[in-house]
Amino acid sequence: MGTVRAGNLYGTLEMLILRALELSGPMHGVGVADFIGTRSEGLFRVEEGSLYPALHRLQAKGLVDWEWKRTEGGKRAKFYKTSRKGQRALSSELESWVASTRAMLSLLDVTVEEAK
Amino acid sequence: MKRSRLKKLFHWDRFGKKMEQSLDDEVSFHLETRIEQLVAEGRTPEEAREEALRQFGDPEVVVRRCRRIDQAGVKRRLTRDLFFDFFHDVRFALRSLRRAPGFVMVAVLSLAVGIGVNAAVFTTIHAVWFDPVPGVTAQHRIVDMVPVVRGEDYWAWAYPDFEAVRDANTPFEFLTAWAERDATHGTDEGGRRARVAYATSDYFDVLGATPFMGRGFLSTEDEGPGQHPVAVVSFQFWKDRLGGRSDILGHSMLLDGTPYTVIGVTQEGFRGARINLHSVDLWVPLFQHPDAAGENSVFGARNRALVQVLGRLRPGATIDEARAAVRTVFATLQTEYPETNSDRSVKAVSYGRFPAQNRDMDAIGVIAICGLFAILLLIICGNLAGVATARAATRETEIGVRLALGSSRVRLVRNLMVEAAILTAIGGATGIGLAMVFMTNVSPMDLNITAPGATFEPSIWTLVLSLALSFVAVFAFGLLPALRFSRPNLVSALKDDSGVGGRRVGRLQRYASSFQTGTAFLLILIAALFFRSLSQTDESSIGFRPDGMAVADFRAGGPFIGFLDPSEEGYATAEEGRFALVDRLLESVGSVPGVASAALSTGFPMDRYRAYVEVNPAGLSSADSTGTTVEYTRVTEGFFSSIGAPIQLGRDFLQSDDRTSVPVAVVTISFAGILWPGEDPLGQQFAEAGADHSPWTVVGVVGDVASSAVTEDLPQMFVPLRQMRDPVFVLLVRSEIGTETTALAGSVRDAVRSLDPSLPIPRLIPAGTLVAWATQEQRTGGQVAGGIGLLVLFLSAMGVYGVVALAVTNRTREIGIRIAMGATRGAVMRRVLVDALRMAAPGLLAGGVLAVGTAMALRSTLLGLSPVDPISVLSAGTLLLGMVVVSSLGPALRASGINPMEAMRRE
Repeated sequence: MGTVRAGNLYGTLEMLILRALELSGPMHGVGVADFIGTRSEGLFRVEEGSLYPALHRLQAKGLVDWEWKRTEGGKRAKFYKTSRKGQRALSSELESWVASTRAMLSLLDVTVEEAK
Repeated sequence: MKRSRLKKLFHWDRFGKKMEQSLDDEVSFHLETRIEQLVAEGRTPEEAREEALRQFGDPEVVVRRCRRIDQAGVKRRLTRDLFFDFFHDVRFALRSLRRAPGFVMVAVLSLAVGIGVNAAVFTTIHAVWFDPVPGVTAQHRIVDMVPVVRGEDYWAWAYPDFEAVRDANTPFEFLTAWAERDATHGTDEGGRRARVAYATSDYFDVLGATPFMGRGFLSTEDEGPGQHPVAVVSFQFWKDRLGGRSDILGHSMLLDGTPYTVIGVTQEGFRGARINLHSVDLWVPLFQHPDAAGENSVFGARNRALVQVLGRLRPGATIDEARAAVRTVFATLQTEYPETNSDRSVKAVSYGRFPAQNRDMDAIGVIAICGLFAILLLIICGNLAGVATARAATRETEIGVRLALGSSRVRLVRNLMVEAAILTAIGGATGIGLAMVFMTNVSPMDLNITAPGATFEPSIWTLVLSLALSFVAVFAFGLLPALRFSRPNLVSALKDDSGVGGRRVGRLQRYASSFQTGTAFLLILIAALFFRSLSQTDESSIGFRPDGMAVADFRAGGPFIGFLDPSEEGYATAEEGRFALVDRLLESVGSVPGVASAALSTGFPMDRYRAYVEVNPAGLSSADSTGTTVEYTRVTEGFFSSIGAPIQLGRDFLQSDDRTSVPVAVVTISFAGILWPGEDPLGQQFAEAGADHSPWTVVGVVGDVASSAVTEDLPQMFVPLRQMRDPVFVLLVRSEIGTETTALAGSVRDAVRSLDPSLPIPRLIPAGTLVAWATQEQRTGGQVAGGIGLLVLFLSAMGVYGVVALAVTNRTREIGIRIAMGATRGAVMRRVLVDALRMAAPGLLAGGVLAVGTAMALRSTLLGLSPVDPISVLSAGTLLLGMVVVSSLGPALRASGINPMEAMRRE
């Protein structure tokens, strides 16, 4: 079955990033990429070249805050975390995502089990 | 330097190098982490590096994409921030302004004055200079031809010169010459003055003025002196004086006693070719001019200038062609008539509302006036900047804290700018509004501007200019304080500089303040001198008693008295009739109840009609033409009691002092003192220098009375009116004690009318009014200088306050230390005040010297008051010093109230 490029579905990459930051707290870019890869059990592989532009888009929209901090290894890295505005945006985004996915599934008349 | 400051001002550094650096760091961190992970998995560093790059893609591309996104984001945020900040700033500024109503009032008022005055001046100049002449069409094709005599602009042409140009080949379609004078428009109830233009037939064609009714002149009416008594009347004249009758054409009216036929009425608003103080009432052919007839016609003489000339260019012709053509004609005239025309030429200039004579000089004057008022606005802005800075400086600690906490420096600067903008908006709107109200309610005549008919309607240009000025004002008065706070090291500046009293208020500001104080002193001192000189015109100094005295005005109706000329009233032919008129007038007016005395004379003190003669004691050689210049007046008996200057020695004139008796004279004390120092003047004889008619014998002496011009102090002589061959006179009356002169007006008028109903109706004018007319210059001078002086006083008070307040704030720590070291509060206050006075001193000194210099130059208008009149100097000086002290009192009090502990804790 292979891996799916995260973000192939339009706009999902930014939602994934926000969700990742919400679930795990402040992370740098590498962390975000790894988190998405791990959480999707290797199914989603984040295209790293697209990750940073996406992060900066979120930053420009004010959906994430950022801060330069030391990693555990002692290196300086730019850590992102969801802003309050980002949290609001994410929850509404998730709602509509879940709703539309449900609709899609019922329309296609398949169950999640089947699809597997 | 400037650039980086600007960048900081607008956060541009946020997406400058720093941003670039952080992007690189971010990408490097990513790649390094991945490489480390891969190496940990057992790859060689080279392999790890390649793999990491493969997963990531081209870092350059990623960085570039991110950078674009960042920049767009920053820009969007900036725009949004600016927008939000703007409202925030306005709210903030309004709040802080509400806490300082005094400052707001001062700022709004002075900006209103500054911008309003500029708007008004500009409107006036625009109206005078650029508005088209009413009733004139295609003005750009009209050429004004100014005669130049010996290199100087002259007012009139000799008519033969005009004829030469008219008959030459020139690019003019029409050419006209005309002369203006006052004539009497006679109707049954007596003559009234009318302004008459005597014009050649092309007059209306040159101006492109079509008649409202009837026609203009025909070319056949250009010839034959006195043979074409036809008149075109102005619309206003037709309405006011001819009753606006629709059948007026063909009707007859009297002009200087001659019947004229009305042939046309001009369009409404047309006032003639020149915008003068008097608009033309009616037009008649040039050769109807009273001096046109006979051998000595003014229009035949090359040496008598009387007419003005305008030409209308043919379509397509240029003013340069006209200039060349006229120059050729004048060159020919110079060779043909070297005696008269050698120094004559003509300057062809564009025609307009503004007088063509000396137009260049006037233009310089106008520009100078504009510049002056613009400088006034700048000074106002400078002062406001000072006050605003002082205001902001009082909040330095707060601002310092805010800056230290990372509050946006930009915001502080913007707050001040927004405050300035709000104040300027209110002030500017008020000023423009006031200017408009003022200008629409004031006619140019009130402003003493020779531009009747000029409309002071607010034009789009006025608005544009005022807006531009307002912008200038915002920057001029917002920027100085703003820049002060945009200093990058403000916090340290706060801590260090305000501490040890090092930084003083800018030298420029101190000089500016001193300069204003000096200017205010100059103006106020001059105003004081003028007003003091007016109060000098009391009875003791003018030598006559205006109280209870009145003069009959026979026709002028202006700020001058009109004389009665018997020869114009049907008493010309019989000499007996003329002198009989004098007797009968004196008799009938003198017998009016309430009249104490009446007299006829060719003048009265302060009448502003000058008549001088040079005299010598009799016996000096008649060839000796130099003598003492004295003013002479012809008077009847009763003159001295009528003006209230009693004879001090000898006798008054008698009815018998007439043409059959010896010439006699009454002289003033100073006259006698000059001609016969130390001798008894009575019985002495004197004669006109260089003339050989029989000498006058002194029969009486009066005290020194004011001469015709208040500004001159001439010895005077009086001779009997009855010894004059051709008397022209005014009527003087003195009322009995307890009777107002105004109460006599009716009965004096009736007395004259019962004598001869065809005589002009006399209008009694109280001598007090005449004195006021004569001293108008002083009054106006005093009012103007005083008005501007008070304005500048107000401005300089603001300037002084700004400078002193800022100085106190800047030296808070120093003052604190002084107080801690035992300086008394009084001593601190004194120090601040002395500093303020020391700052103002050079300006006051210079202003005082200039004022005295100006007063010396104006000495003649000061009515004998000394230019260093101690009362004026003292009062103006006290006022100015008081202003300096009062303006610096606030800051001084604050200085004395400084708490040393707090002041030092600021470190």
